[in-house]
Amino acid sequence: MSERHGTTPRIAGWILSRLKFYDDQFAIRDAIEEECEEIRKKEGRIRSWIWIWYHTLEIACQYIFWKFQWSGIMIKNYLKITFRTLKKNKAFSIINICGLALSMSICLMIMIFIKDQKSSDGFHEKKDRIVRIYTTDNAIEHPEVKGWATTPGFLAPYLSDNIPFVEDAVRVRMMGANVLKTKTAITIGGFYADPSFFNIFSFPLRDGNAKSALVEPFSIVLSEETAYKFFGHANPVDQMLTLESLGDFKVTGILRDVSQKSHFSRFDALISFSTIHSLENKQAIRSPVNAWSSMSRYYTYVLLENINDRSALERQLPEISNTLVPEQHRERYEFKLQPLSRINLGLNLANGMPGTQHSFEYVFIPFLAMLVIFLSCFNYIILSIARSLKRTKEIGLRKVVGSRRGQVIRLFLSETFTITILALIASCLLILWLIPAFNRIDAIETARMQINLEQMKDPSLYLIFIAFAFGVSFLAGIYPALYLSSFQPVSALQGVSRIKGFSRLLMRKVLMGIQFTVSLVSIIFIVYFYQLNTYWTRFDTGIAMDNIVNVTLRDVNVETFRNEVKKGSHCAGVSFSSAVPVYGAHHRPGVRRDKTIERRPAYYYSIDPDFIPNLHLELIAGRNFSDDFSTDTEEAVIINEKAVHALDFGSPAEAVGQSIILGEQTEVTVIGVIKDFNYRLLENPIEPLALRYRPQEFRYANIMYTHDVKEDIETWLTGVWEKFDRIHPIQISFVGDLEERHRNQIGGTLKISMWACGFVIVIALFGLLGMAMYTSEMKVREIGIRKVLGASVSGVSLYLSKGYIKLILISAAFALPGGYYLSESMMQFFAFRPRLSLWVLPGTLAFILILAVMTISSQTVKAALANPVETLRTE
Amino acid sequence: MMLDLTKREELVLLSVCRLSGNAYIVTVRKCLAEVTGQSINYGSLCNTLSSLVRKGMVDSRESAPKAKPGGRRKVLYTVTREGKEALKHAYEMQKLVWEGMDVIIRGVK
Repeated sequence: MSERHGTTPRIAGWILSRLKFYDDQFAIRDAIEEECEEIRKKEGRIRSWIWIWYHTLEIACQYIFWKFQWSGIMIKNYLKITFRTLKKNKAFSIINICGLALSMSICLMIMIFIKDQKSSDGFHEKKDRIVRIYTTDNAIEHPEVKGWATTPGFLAPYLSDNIPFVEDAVRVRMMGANVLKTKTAITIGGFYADPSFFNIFSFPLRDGNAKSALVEPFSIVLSEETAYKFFGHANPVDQMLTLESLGDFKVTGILRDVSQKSHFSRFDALISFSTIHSLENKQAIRSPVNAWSSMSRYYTYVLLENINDRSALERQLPEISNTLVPEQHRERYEFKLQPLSRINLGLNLANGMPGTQHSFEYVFIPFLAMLVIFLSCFNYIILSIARSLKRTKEIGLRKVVGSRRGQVIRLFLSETFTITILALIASCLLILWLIPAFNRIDAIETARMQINLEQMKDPSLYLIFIAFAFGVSFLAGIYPALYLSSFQPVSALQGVSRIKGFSRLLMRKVLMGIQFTVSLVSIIFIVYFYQLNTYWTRFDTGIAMDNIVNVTLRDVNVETFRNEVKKGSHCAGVSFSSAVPVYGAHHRPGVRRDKTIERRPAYYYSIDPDFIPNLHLELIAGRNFSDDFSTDTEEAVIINEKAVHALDFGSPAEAVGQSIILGEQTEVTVIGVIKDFNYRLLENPIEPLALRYRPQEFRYANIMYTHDVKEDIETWLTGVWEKFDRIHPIQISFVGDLEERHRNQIGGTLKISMWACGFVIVIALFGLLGMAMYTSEMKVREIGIRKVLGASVSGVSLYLSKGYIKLILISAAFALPGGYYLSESMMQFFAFRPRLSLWVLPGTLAFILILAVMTISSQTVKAALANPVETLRTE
Repeated sequence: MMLDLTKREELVLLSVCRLSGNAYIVTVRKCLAEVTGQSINYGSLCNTLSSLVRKGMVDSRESAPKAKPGGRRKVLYTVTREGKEALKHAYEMQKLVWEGMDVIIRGVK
């Protein structure tokens, strides 16, 4: 167009032609061009150019101003109409608001949860410049674990000495010790850290000097709470504190309490790193700082001079790995970095800090939220389209009177938006109740994932919420708005039957079908997981753990402790072991028959001769350990059946008497073979196992008791314990409790899924209720005529419900096999799993059908019972 | 019938009258500039005109572009009866308000 005159700049012309109203009313573009031409002739090209731009912009500004004035009036109008329609269709509004509120509250909760987790470590002033170095490991056992959160102790000094843009680096090592101050020892946890810890991280000190507090060996900085525990209100600075087996420490500072989350979690004390060197000399702690073996102990944090140096350091790290990793490990390990903000909800690393969560677990939670939101949007769409029958006349009239399609769309969107905002308010109130409920779930508590309600006070959160509500209303409202606004006024005014095009019945059915499919699949899924849970509870593990209590031994003499415990009347047997089977730590040295072949993975425990009878394990060949053979403590090993196969022995009997190599080079002789039993959790398959009799490795006493009251057992054992150790409190754990805790973890996931599933079903039923209400309302007269012609109440209700039941049956045809195969494939992750019973499938279907029929019949029966005289008389 | 006019509307309406038959946005703007000595921007002129149209005081009519290349669209305006009534009303109001008041501005230059 602009070539036509050759004078106006293309963009100015375009802007002017976009101002549609002005162009229609005043032919503004042509007017401007006309005058511009004159000016060009008189004053030249440049003047005309300036002139045209000045005027174009002025016109555009005026246009926008004018538009705003009008849209303000329109919005007021839209809102008025919206509230009128909401009032007129109360049931529709309530169903939609409830459904959206339910699903939005889940999403809001997840947003708060993620925000809460993401806010971790946000209080450090230099947070952008802090990175953590971690070590990748390509030979790690679990594929989802990417490496170690730790590095060897020598990395941090190397980085601060050799890399110019590293401003500071800190080594951190976990610390746990017993404080000998009060009558019984109190355990505190924390870290060893370099003095630069306070330079890099912004943990505020209440007392003491941040620069010097961690310099001297044997300095300790306490948290406010811990200091109060040991010193009361007295000033603790410069006081002495004795830590068992570590030495005497001088208190050099007190940390102020920080309420914000940190990936260090809460710690009681910090000890100067220089202490480690003295402790190494005293042999009080293992893995020296400068050896590669310290790789699993030391965390390295680096403060960069500039945020942009991160990529430079990233580029240099392969080279640094090459220099620092010993040659034999170079293939396997490499140093990498992660910014401080990515530590929480980031990579899944072994030996992570206590306050970190991995992103791995959270992939499915937003997915769930999305699902629920989609389902409730479907509800809205279904009900809006259904209602469209009623509104066609209104739309037709609007169009005849002169509203354009865009205006009708805006009207409907503003209606949706009002509903969403109401739902948002409802869901904000709902989460105030949901969050505490969520925090109370045991698994959430143990995983320290509770949501901090403080987060709710952040105003920026509400901006996100409103943006979210915008998104949801668009998602829910755009299809109905486009659909309803597409009616041609003539056909709309003539009646629904004339509206053709894409079948809204089909669309509605598909959406409802999806809702029921999702509900069915989630119920099936949950029932199968419940089944798995009960299967595990009842599973015969081959090891009698029900009446066992484990006591941590410390330095107690095994023999005298055994004799003392056996005196007790509740005692049915005592044995000793290096770890608690099923729930304890596992050492996995591997076995082989001779040094030339590769090691086979195998687990290892140390047990005493009483262990096998005490836990009802079954020997199938050879003999048990015995004190009669002096060689048993060094050279004998008992293996399980799996180990017999792994070592290629023909039969258990054949294995007895053979010598095998355990770990690197320990040569031992097989004296017996025991039947396989589950010494790990049931998720895992049974693997080869080697048992030895080494009293120096015993850490637990396994006491079999014959009494029902746990408290009595506890007081009895505490009494026994106090004869041996008055300083340390007894550490006691009932296997039943451990089991329960583990079940709770599965139960927690199950509980959360059950909640989500419940929400899904409720939302689907809401939709169904709305539809049933609507159809029975629409068909009032039809029902009346049917009844006059002789239809029975049950016949009419059946007639009204038939369509929905058919729909559920069709979705079941997809959902039942789908749910079954989905569950089946999830079950593959567990070594011990039940056979999924097929009766669950019809059961689920029946359950949903009953719920659906109950929902529908609440409306249809009412419609069917109505007196035809009444219904037919109206109009 | 709403007969109230703002000052600017009154001026624009008068210019449309003055231009009788050849009133479109370019000429209206020029006429205003000539008579009052100060130019008015297109944007605000558009808004004033559109409110006059809305009040029914001005009729608009699009003249077809000339057939030759470069021919332009024009939207021509004519004053309606309502417009004339409004002007009359404004004029009478003016006269009433000024009745005997010209004394006070006599000395002002």
